[in-house]
Amino acid sequence: MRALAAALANGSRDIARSVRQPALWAMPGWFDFVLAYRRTLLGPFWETVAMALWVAGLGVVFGHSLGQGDRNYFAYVGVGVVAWFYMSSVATSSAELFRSKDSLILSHRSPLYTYVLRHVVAGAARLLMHMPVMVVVLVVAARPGVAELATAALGLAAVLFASFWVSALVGLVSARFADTKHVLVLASRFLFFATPVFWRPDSLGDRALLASANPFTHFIDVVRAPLLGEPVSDIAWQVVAVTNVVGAGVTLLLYGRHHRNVVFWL
Amino acid sequence: MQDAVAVRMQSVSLRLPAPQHGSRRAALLNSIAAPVRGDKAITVLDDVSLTIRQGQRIGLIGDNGAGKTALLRVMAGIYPPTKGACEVRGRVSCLFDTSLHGYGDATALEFIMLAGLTRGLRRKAVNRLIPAVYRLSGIGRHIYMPTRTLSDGLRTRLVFAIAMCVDWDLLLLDEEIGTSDLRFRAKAKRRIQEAPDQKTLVVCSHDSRIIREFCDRAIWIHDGRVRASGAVEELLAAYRRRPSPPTGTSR
Repeated sequence: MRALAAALANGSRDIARSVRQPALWAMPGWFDFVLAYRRTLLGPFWETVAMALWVAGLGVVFGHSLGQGDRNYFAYVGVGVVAWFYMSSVATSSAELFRSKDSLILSHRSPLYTYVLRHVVAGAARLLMHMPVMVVVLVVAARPGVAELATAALGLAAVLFASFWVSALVGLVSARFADTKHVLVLASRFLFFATPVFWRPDSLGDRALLASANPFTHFIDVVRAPLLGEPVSDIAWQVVAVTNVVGAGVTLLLYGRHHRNVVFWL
Repeated sequence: MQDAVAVRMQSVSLRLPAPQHGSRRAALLNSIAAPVRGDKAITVLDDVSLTIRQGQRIGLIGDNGAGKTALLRVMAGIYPPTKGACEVRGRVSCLFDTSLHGYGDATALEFIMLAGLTRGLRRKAVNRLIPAVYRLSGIGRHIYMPTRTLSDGLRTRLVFAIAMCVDWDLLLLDEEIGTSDLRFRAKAKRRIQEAPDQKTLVVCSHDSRIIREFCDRAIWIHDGRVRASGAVEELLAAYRRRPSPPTGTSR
């Protein structure tokens, strides 16, 4: 029990120190994102273009073939794809979170969680570049009211909160086990098709349970359903809340216990 | 002030996990079981005790793999010791490599700003850092160039100048100064000599000229232990006379 408390205290201390020093992660996180587009014509707007093509492609191709050919389907796909790509890219890229910064970690002493915050900032910047696509499809196809926007903002806050612990957890595990990155890339490819990003759960008929057993379904649902004027099910809020609480708790324990070992694993 | 302690290490040992080679099956088994039964590890520092006083200019000498860099990283607070304690007083500035840390596409100006921020400087301090680094590094018009286009020498001058120009009480340098040109080395030496008396320098180098130019004392690290310490010339002479290590041996 004492070891558990010590782990929690260690992890919390490192996180608190990191949060108190935004200079270490706010601007560096933005640069982590934006430098990847240096020397390109469109810069970070490549993200916007790529997302627009994804949404348009899925909307045109599956809008009819899945028998879901209504205007609302574009909004369904638009929000679903933006939310999915945010979650999957945060999870998969976290595998390189500490490894890609090894020279920095081994050169300067700073709280380790600052690297997690940098990664979250870079992910949020990417999400910001995807947002115009979501706004356009919503204006054209859904036009949510203020109450719906407020509920969706709450859902988005839950998704963003998850990125803080998912990044730390994946980064930590991947620093120790190099295979993690490859497993995550494989899993995200599979889960893109297994999650109702561009298809509706009720289209599965008897096998709709497959969708509701997938936590990603609910994380997408709490953002997407209100924007489409649909009610968010209680079960979706419950799954999102429980996943965030349990995930954050487990991460805090593991992080507190092992974050000092990351320098030895790089 | 000369008697105040800058670094005190007491019985510091450091063990680092050793990468596992062999069959894939063995690697996989080790990967899964290691958290339970512990990694195979090598001892990098073994019961090191030393005291460095404020204002001392210390040169670390020793063969490759002797543990010099690990010792600097323990002083910097990057590696927590496996055993023992390391107490460091004051602000630490380090230069362990000339890596661009993934900022190859950033301009040198942005690089200085980011380096300042990642060392925990606030915006105002970063604004003061930029002209200081500009002057010391002599980077000139290259300040607007992407850092990946800088020559090795210029890159060394840039990162060295950053390490020098942030406020420090203890400056830890690993090798890199040796790759800069003579003019810059003279400038760096002058800068260190002009630093207030209580500022402490620990530099690790295989180049005896660097140790002579920058240091007033030396510590010889051998096989993870302090083999000897003393005046620079005495220690360099003893180090030169060391017997050659037998080939094919490992710790």
